Amino acid sequence: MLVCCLPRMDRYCCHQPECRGLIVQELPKQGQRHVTIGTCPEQEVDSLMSVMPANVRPEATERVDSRAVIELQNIRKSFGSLSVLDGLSLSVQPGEVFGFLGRNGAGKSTAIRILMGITRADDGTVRLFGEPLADDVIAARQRIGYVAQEQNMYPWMTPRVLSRFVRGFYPRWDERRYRQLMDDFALPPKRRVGTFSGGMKAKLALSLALATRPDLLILDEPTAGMDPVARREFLDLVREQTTRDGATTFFSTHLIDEIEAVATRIGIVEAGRTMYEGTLHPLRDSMATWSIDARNWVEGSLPGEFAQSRLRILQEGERQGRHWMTLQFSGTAPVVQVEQLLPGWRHDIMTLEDVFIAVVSNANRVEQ
Amino acid sequence: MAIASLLGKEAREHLGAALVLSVGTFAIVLLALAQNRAAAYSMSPFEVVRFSLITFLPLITLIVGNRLIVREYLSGTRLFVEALPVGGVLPLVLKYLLGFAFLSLLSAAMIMIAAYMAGIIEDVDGPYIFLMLGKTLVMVSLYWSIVFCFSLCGHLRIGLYLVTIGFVMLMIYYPGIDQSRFSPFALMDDQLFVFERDIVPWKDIAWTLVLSFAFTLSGFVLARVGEGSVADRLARPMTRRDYVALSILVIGGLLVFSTLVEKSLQESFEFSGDFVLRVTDPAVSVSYLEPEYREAGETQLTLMQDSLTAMQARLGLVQMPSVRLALDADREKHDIDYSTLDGVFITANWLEHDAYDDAIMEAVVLHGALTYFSGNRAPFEPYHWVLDGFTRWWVEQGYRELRTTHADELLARAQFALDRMPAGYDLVHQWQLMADEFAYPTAEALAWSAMSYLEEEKGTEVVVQLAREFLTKSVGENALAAIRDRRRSSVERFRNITGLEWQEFDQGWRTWVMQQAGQPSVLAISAQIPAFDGVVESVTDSSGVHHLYGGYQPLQSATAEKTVNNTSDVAGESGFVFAGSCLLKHELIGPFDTEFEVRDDNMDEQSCAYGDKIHSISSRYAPGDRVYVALEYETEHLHQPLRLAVKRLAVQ
Repeated sequence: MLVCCLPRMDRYCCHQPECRGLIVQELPKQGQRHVTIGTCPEQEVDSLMSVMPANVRPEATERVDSRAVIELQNIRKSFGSLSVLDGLSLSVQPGEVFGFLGRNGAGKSTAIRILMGITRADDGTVRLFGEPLADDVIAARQRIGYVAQEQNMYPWMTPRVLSRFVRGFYPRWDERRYRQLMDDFALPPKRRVGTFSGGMKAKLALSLALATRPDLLILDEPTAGMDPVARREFLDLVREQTTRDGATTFFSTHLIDEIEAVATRIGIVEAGRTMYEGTLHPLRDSMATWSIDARNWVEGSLPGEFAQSRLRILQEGERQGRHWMTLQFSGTAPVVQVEQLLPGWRHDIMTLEDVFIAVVSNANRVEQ
Repeated sequence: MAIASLLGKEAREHLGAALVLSVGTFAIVLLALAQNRAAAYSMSPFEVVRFSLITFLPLITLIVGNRLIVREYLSGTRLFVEALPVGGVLPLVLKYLLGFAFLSLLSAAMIMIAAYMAGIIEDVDGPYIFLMLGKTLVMVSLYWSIVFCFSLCGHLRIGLYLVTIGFVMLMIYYPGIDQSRFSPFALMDDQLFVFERDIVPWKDIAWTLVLSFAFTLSGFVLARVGEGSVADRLARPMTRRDYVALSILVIGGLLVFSTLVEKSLQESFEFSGDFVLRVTDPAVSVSYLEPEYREAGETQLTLMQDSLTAMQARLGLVQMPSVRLALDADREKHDIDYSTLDGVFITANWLEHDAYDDAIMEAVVLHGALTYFSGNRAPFEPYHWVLDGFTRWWVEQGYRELRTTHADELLARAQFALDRMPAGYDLVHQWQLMADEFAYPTAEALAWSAMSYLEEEKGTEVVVQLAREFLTKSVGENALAAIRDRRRSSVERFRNITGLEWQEFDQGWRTWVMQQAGQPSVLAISAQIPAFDGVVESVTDSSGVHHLYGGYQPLQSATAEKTVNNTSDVAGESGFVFAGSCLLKHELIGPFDTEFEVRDDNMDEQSCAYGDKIHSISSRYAPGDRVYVALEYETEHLHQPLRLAVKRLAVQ
């Protein structure tokens, strides 16, 4: 994976066949914007650069920090004829809380199973803590705290017995911390796990994961099935604990508000590919939605004079008698006054959910 | 640490159940043993082990498999372990080993209990225990590997079990399939499992282990296909379609099973037609074929009725098994077929019988009746000699006056055997070998002479007591009494009944036989018995044709010099010809066949003479065949041939 310094986002890359479906990562750095050309094969970067505008500075090309905690490159995985991951790439730096966002079936759990070494990728590279995962899966897992989507702990065990079982696998097991977490979470140590509620089980799983003193905490949709109160409580705990430990956290979810609550950086995955990797706010700021009465809609028309700054139309359709379109801009979406719009157009407020839907819908449109 | 954690988890999860299963198993085994002891005729305690292996050990294996594997997959806890820092195969390997270890320990404990209860009576020694243990553990490994493999097939396992049960039933009940001839059924053969002591069934053990390995490997492969996703998918709950398929399978299986059972069931056979004589108490029937044979049939009917009635009263038996005699006029008069599966069924030709021949047949009938009482077990026990000796004794002098001519011939035979008996042989521990070496007529004469000596020493009642003790007595009023009783050896039981130490009896009996053999009437018969040995040779010539050679040479053993008269018959190295005939009988046998007798079908009869190749047969046997060859001497002075030599040959 390469990082190029570009003065502006250019659409050339995204129109290259090799980069189909590419969402680039943008990181402000010394007045420049670093653009990660995520899915471009390394050897084709030169040719890619050659077709870019002259103001692109190819000499600024640099490699991503090879000591990333998680580094997935072009991961592919199929189950029979069903392709689940189709060139997934992402990178998580030390100390980050990385939100891994995607719809159900987007490939999040498969990606996590690959990260855990439970499932093998058909193709691509998986590096954890700077080392190829395949070198020593067990050693890698000993540095990972994992909270699964479903808590499959032995129902006959009590939390105390569970700790006796689990501690044998983790050299860095911290019993004192486990007990502290049990106290903090108000979990009864002598009650059988089978009698716990979903929220209690998730807290117990988080306690187990944190008691291993992990370098990397992987949370695979841990709040699935929780009521809103329990979910909020759990997220607060995650935020608190990760802040305290400074452990790198990989948080998988399909709920964008959870991401907003805990993540410092996000990756959006759709149909097994990375659609976006970067911080949340630039993504949100780069989009805007306008609508017009469907009867006044003229094919091909735009809400304003955006042609120069428009990156692409992410979404377009009709809803409640109005034709609407979501545009993604190369930078922050322009603040447009009503009088600057063509007659009949209206600026609509976008929630984070709208942003997510726009991104994944666009991905599907490109796919089609 | 990871292994310790996994083992600790399994122990915490299953220890209670394992204890309950163990206690339950031992309770059942002890009950079965006690029941066995209290039965009118008791089996070997090792039969209980076999019974356990066939019946509830598979059920226990199912329970173990269900707890160790199925539960882990169905409840999804496998996914929890899967995410821990541990190899993917290790948890399953540990489960496999734990299951096998538990079942092995359980089975080994059963063997040990059986060995403890069997004691000396069963002639239990180290090699025998190891053989039993080996066969048992091999079967346990097969059960466990099947359950292990099927447990990883999720809900399909129920169907697979049903198919397997169906297959086993097919093997057992389908007429024409002798399942005892191939693995793994051969290991569980009702005769060989308990009674085989000398031959280790390596081939069956190897095949069974191969099967176990195949199932085990399949299980591990299944658990790893698609990183275990196949086993995971199969572990999901059954759908309606699965239930319908399963129901169809069960119904189909039951239909096939009932058809096979119906086909294999045989109703108790009864003679029909006009030429049948019957009495009801005891139940004896004689089929005599033609009107002109009626008289001979009536004689046999009366003979058997009298004998059985007297024996029933004397031994205090509630009911005798039904006895059926079928006349086969084409048979040799000493060619007697008998089976004891459904009462006693005898096929023989008694038309030309004299009193001695009748006594032989009568002894066979009584032998069958008492064998039937012992659940067909007595012929395989160390007290077999009591069965043989008592039946002949009963026929000769038990309920009638002793006929001296019979006694003379029997004594001559007994002396013949004692003269040639290897040092250290005794009736208890080498009875089967003696019967094999000298054939039944002579072995029976030996046993009869022992009973006659006992009668002379201790009286008739002691002989009857001995028969009651070994052949008909129910021992042990409860489990403890049964265990105590089983600890006594047959030698000890003999001493308790007779008041004689075995060595003392053995020595006295031998001396008595030799003294009796000195009577002129016995000497007259002994004089007709040649002092020579038979030698058998198996040769495959350069053209690949196999030859069997039988020859005779002067008796070399030192004991031959003791023979009072017949040494004088050995006139020279060659040229001497006896009045009788020399017979070479041969028959193909299987790897485990332990026949003592060989049919007359394959027989070469020659005039007796010294030489290596008196019998020369271009045989039909192929390399690898096992052939039973016997050399016998037949003379008009003896009612039955005299066995000179026997050999089991492996054709090269």
